[in-house]
Amino acid sequence: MHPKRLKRRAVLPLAVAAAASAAVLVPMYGGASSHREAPAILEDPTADNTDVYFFRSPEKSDTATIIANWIPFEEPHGGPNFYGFSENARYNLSVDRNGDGKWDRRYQYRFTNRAPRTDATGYVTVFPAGTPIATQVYDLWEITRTGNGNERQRRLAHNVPTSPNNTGPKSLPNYLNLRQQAIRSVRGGVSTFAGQADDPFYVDLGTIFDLVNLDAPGRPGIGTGNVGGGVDSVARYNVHTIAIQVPMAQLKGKGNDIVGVYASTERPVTTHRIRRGTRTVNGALVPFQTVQKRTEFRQVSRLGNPLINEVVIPRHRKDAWNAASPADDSDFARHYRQPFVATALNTLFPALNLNIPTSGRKDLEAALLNGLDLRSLGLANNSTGKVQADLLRLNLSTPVNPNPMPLGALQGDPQGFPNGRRLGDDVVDIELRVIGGALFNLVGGAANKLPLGDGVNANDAPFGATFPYVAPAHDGFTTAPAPYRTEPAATPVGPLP
Amino acid sequence: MLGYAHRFIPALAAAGVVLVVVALGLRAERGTAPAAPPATAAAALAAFVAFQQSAVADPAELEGVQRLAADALEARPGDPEAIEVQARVAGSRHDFRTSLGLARASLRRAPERVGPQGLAADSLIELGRYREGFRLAEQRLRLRPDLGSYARASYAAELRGQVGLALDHMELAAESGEIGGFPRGWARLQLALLRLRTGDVAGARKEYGQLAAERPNDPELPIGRARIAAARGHLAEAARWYRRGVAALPDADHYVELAEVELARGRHHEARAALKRASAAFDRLAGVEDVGLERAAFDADWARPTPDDVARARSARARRPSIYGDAAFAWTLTRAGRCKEAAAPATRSLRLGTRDPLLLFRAGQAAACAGDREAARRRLRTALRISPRFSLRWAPVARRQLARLS
Repeated sequence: MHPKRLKRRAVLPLAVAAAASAAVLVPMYGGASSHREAPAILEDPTADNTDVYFFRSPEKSDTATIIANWIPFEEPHGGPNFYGFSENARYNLSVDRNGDGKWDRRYQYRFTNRAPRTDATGYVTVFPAGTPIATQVYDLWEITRTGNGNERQRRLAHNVPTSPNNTGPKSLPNYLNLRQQAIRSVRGGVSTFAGQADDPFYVDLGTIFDLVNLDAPGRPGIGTGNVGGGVDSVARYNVHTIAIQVPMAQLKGKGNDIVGVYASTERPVTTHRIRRGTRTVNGALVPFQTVQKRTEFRQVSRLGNPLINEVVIPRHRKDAWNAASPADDSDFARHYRQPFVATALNTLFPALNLNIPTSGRKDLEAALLNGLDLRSLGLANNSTGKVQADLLRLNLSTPVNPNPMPLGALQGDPQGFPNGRRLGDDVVDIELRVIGGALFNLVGGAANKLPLGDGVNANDAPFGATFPYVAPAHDGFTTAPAPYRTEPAATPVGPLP
Repeated sequence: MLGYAHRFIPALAAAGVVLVVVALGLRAERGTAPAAPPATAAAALAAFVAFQQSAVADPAELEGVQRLAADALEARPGDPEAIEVQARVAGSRHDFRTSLGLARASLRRAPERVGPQGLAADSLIELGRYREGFRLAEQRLRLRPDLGSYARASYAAELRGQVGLALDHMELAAESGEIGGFPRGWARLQLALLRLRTGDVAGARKEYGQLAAERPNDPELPIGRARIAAARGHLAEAARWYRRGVAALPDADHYVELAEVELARGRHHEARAALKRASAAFDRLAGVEDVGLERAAFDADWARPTPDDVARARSARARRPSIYGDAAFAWTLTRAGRCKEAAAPATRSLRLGTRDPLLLFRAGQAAACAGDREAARRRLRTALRISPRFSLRWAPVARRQLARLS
């Protein structure tokens, strides 16, 4: 700093001291030293779909259940930050009933924050025991598209409370009661649930941060991954769940038992149209201005089949995929036909001579974009025809299997993924094996039954026997972040058919 | 294939896990940071996010981000995501021409990605290319409404004097963020500042209250309390909160606000000490980003600018020819007594229709200096109408000037 400047600054205008007693103070220099630009975000968690499930309800087989999750990696001890759905977003569970890739019926959730977050001083938040620190309510809308493209909306439920963040046994000794109250039967024979729950997904991610370290002490025998020994990296984390149980008659198309679903999130885009003019007031021309506000909703994320955005769609196209309608998925079909994961596998392990085909993968394209007719194999048909669309397809006439197999169709279970998806379906192992070539026989080749897996074969928390089936949220007091732990090396998944 | 499995079991297992790794890498990045980050654009972006969220801008941290991005590009030449991170780093340095070039380079390689579109919009706006910048910001919003694009749309509206729309969009930005997360807290802070700038103290108090409820340890909160206290005339309390606030956030702006409070209390020694710290904060920041404009405005606020100061302000404005560039340059000329030269950039600084009372005040002073009484009266009246107490220091000056002009 120039020394002379310092000297000049020593002389300050005294007049200011006498005149000013109150004023607004704001950063005058653009908040220059606060990195004022909008923060870069790695993800948009409240819009971030993590999983979708769609299955015939086991205890109520005339209904089907759709479950979708958002906001990954919610730490149970997340306080003072608590999780919730976004108030300005719309959360959709959409159903295609006629195989054209476009939704015909949609269940839309709109959330509002309710609990006051401040006390009289405006800064401190204290709640008595038994009162959730943050609550939300939602409206549930059913939107039906008519033949001429118009939409008809019907509100099925109003101000339904969500299941709260599970802060712990002292603050919420009645957590399970509050959770039960969040399960509601509403108009149309529909049941609904929304709020925090255990993340039902299970997968071993731990080794990636230790350079694929499989042979550390305490983790013996992971083998090819199909005999346990892995660590569930999302164990003890929560998510925010939306679950709906709908009479099957409302989901089926005309003479069609095969429907596809996907979940999506939309956010509003508001424009202001300013109209300026003049008008006469008391004989004088005065300018006026009117502002017309228009809001439309744009899709910012979607999910049908599991792991597509991570495994199949290249990173440079994820934004486009997230904004696209499933009906436009033929634009992305080439990525399904040449999954880069297959290339990575062959590249990383040349000595194994895996020779997994990395292009022309019509088996993957068919399984994920059209559905498969597996009746010749004694399995189900969930093909919806020629229109390519990434949807979770379920044949609603497939009976409930009282002994579900986690590898679904690969283990001869007609009900499992990719014919819908149940909570217990091990989609990681299934997709590993399908990428490895387990379905080549469907496209005229020989099935390539690589016994691949991630070593994690079950969720850390048991699922419920009744709707909403997802386990209660882990509480913040007793649950530490998912520690390293060793699963028993048992629970092999058995031979492939 | 099963025949060789028993020989290559560890490798096959590794293959399976690597498959999971590649397949689920995005999911992993959401909540945890890699212990040994590979040379990837994702790691560089994560480091950039950490830098943005740090309380004090550390040049070493930003250089670290730069290195990670360079490593990522070496590992994958032409990686559009790594180029985007470089664009973000350049933007953080306020090198908007470089940032624009890099954002466009990233888009050429991956035209569907929305991130670089937002960065390009930012740079165009900061370079005063408003028509292109606003159009691109609007396009970015339509492509993917999220916290970043809402915030951008809010800024664009604010620049054009559309305060209602600016508030709407920033409210959407705040609601889009994860509760308790830094980005949502940042948006809530911007809402508070926007309300303060337009004289809505009660609204600002509510925003700070919401921020406190969601992020009780946010370092901005003591500064917020200070501002609310100052707005109510509780200057001693304000000074106390500012002192607490600058301990965690030693920003130049915060020190200047403290100086104004101390000045208003007649504590000149304390005011001078705060200004000295503000100057030092600017010097520190100059090691990270181009603060030429901000420094020019600060220097002009507190001392009569020298010819060197004017030259520096001119040069800063050439690098960032936005309305703020015009405003800082005009103010420097005005305070240096070069009234005729100040008139044109002062008028240009208002060309978008801004309702920032400080910009209006400075342009009003420039007009008064140049002898344009009508323009001076109009601008000063508008500033005081928007926010009668827009500044502890300058609002009284504006009123006295208006009285003289009338």
